[in-house]
Amino acid sequence: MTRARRTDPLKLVSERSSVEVPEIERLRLESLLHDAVTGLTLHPFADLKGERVANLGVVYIQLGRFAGVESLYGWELYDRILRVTAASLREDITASPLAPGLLVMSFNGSDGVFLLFDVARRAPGQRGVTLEAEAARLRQGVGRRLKQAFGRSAVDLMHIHATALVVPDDPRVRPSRQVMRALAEAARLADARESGEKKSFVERLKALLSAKRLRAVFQPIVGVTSGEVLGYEALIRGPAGHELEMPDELFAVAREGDLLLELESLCIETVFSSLPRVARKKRLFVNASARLLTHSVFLDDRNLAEMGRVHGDIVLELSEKEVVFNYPAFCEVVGRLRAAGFGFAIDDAGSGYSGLESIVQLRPEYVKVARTLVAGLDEDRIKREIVGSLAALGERIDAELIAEGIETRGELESLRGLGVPWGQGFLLGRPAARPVVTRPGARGARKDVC
Amino acid sequence: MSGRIFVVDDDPAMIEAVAAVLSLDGFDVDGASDGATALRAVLNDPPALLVLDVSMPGLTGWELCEIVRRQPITRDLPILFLTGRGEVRDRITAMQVGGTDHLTKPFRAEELRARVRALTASGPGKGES
Repeated sequence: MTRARRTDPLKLVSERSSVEVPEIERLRLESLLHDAVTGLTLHPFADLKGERVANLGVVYIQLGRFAGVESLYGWELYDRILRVTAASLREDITASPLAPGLLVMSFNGSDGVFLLFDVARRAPGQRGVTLEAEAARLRQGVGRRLKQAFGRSAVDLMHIHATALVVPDDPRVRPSRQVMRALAEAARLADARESGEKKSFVERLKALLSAKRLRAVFQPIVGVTSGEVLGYEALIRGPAGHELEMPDELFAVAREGDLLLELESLCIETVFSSLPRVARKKRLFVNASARLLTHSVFLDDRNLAEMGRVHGDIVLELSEKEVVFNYPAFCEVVGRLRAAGFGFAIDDAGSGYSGLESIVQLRPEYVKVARTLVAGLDEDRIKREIVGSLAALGERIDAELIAEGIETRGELESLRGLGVPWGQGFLLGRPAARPVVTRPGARGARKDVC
Repeated sequence: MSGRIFVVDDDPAMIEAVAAVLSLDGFDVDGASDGATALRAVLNDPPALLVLDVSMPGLTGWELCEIVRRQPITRDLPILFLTGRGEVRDRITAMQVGGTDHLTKPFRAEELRARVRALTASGPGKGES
C-alpha cells in the first residue's frame, strides 16, 4: 500500500485495498448470482445484507411443475414464460401497499419466485392488507398476463400456486437459517397444494380412459414446395372443452398417475377406429413410445395384422429421446415391426437429447425436425445451421426430412432454402377429424378439401 | 468492408489463422488467448463482432458470452462461436447463452468469411441477413 501524498484528499484504506474484487471477477460473480432470463437474484442473502428482520414475510409464487412444460415445449418458451412472470411480479409489486417493505425478490433457479418483506413497513393507511391477500393478487396477475401472452395450450395446465407466511424474529436463531427455513416452508406449502391438484387430475383421466372418451385428429404432412400431401399424422385429443383436451395435458397427467401404457393403448385403438377416408389413401404417421412398442399392443401379431388390414402404410414416430439401442428388447421389436411392414420416423430430431447417433442407428425413413428448431428459424442462424446439418445427415442415411410446427411464411421459405422437402404445421393444415390442406400461395391461401 | 473483430481462442495460432482469413475482407483483428483479458478489452472498446472459442482455461466461451450479453454496452454485439464442439447440444447451448452464430472447427475459410460478412453487415442485434 503506498502512502497518500499530502496534496491528495483523504483516501480511505479500503479504496486501495488489495482485497478489492477485480472488475472481471465482479462481473463473473454478478453473472453467477443472477438468473440470466429473469434478471432476479438467485441468492436471497445477496440483497439482505445480514440484517435481522423483526417480521419477515415470505410470499412464494410457483409455476405448476407437473405438466413439465419446459420438457414438452422447450427452453425458449419457458424462458418467455419466466420473463412474463418476473415482469408481472415487478409491475404488481410496485403498486402494492407492501412495496415499502420489499427486501428481496429472488428466483429459485427453476420455477418459483420468493418475495421477502419486512411486513411492518407498508404504505400509510394500509394496515389491514394481509400478506395472503397480496400473494393472491400477485398470483392472479401472473396468471392473467401468462394467459394474455400465450393463450391456452402451453400454460393451461401450469397452474400457479402462491403461499404466504410471516416469521417473527427469534434472536436465538441465526437470521440466515431463519430465512432459509421460511423459504423452504413456503415452498413445501406450495408443493402440498400442487400434489392435491395432481390427484384430482389423475382421477379425471381415469374416468376418461374407462369411458374411452378420446378422439383422433389428423394433420397433413405436405411438400413445402410441391404442396403434394405425403400423409397424415394422427394426434389424440380429450373431449372438446375438457381440461384434458390437449395431448400434452393428457400425457402429463398420465405420467403422474402411472397410466401411460393405458393411455397409449387407447390412443392406438382410437386412431384406428376413426380413420377418415383421406387418411386411408396416404401414409399414416402414428406416435408410439419405446415403452409401448416393447409392451402389449405391438407384441401381439394379431394386433399388427389388424393394423395392417386397416391401413397398409403406417409410419411409427419415435421421439429422439426414446431411441435406446442398448436395450435389446427395443432392437428386437424394431426388427419385427420392420418385417411386418412398418416404417419409422424419428420425432423431435435436433432437440438435443441424444445427438444424432440415435438417428443413424434407427435408420428411419423420415426425420421430423423438432418444432422448437422450426419456430423462428428464419430469424436464427444457429437454428438454420442445425436444420442444415440434419438435412445433410438425412441425405447420408437416405431419410427424408419433415419440419414440424411451421406457422409462418418466413419459416416455410427458410425450410425451402435449406432443402427440407416436407412440412407440417398450422400454416399448411390444422389437425382435424376431417383434415384440410392449406397451400399458402402468393395471393392468399387456397384451401383444398382432401 | 471493414471493421474490427475480436477473436478469443486459447490457441494463438488459431487467432492468427482467423486474422489472416478475415484480413482478406479488410477486417482488423484483435485477439486474446484468455477470457478475462478478452472481456476487459471488449468492454473497454466493443468490436463489430466477437468470435469465441468455447473450451478455454479460466473463463469459458459460454461464460464470457453470458457476461457480455448482460452489459449494456455489449448487449447487442454479434457473437460467433468458433469451436470444435459441434454437437447439436453444443449449438443449443450457444443459443441459450446468447450466441448469434456457430461454426465448427475445422472450418473452411470461405465459410468463415461468409458468416462474418453477414454478421457484420446486418449491424447490431441478432445479425440477420
